[in-house]
Amino acid sequence: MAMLQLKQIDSHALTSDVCPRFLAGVDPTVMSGYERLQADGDPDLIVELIDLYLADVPLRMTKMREALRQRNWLQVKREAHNLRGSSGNLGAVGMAAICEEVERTVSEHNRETEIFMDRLERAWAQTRSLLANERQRRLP
Amino acid sequence: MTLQTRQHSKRILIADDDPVMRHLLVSIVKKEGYEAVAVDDGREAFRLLQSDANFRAGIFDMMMPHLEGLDLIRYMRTEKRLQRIPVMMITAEQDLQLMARSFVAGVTVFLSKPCSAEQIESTLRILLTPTRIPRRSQPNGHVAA
Repeated sequence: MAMLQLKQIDSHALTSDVCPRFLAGVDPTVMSGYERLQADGDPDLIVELIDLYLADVPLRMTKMREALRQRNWLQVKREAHNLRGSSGNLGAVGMAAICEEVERTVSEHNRETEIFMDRLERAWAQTRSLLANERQRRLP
Repeated sequence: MTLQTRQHSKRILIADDDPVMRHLLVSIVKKEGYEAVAVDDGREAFRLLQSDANFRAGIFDMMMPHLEGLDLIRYMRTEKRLQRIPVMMITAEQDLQLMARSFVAGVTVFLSKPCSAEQIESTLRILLTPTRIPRRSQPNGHVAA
């Protein structure tokens, strides 16, 4: 049910006129694919994965911002690459898509990267909210 | 450590700086009946491997802080006691040349991120198959010939 809600929110977000291509999409089928890994008696695996992601992303984004400020393009690319991987594995497709654009555009004299970083911040706010709702729903 | 002992080891070394992926790998490895030994970067894995060769397999992220997955593999392939440990390399790169270089360095199977639980499981089973030939290629997992 909540997965369905996630999908509905996602569909709404993707049809929004704010920034259609780069909004915070979360593909609920990715997380639901992990449900069969849940062992009896263990803490909810998906909640654990969400918690790890929610704790990790701010650290990575801070590193990206700092690397951008220092004009350390290689580090920006590296952090974007890592964030793309973890976002994709949690179904945060909006975050993953923007990270891919950061990776593609990052280079000296390129203002596009800063624009994508701003979009990433906005996408993160929405993704965090969707995942926090899903986390809440799964807790007993 | 004899080859037979190593093949009977239930321990799998996981090195990945992404906590989500690392936790997912640990869950899958445990579900498959193995013991996961997880570290969060290549240098930690390197330190562990210097004194401990009792692993059935290794699962490494390609891009890690301090020491990358490929460097770790290159080290393992120069150490006789580590040479026979099969390694799965995980990466978000879609670069065929990088994949080729990985196989040359000694990677056994290659898995592209993002990947589903099923893809990780099936690639893990290929990795743990005692005979190397024949091994089936997977939709998202690539196997060294």
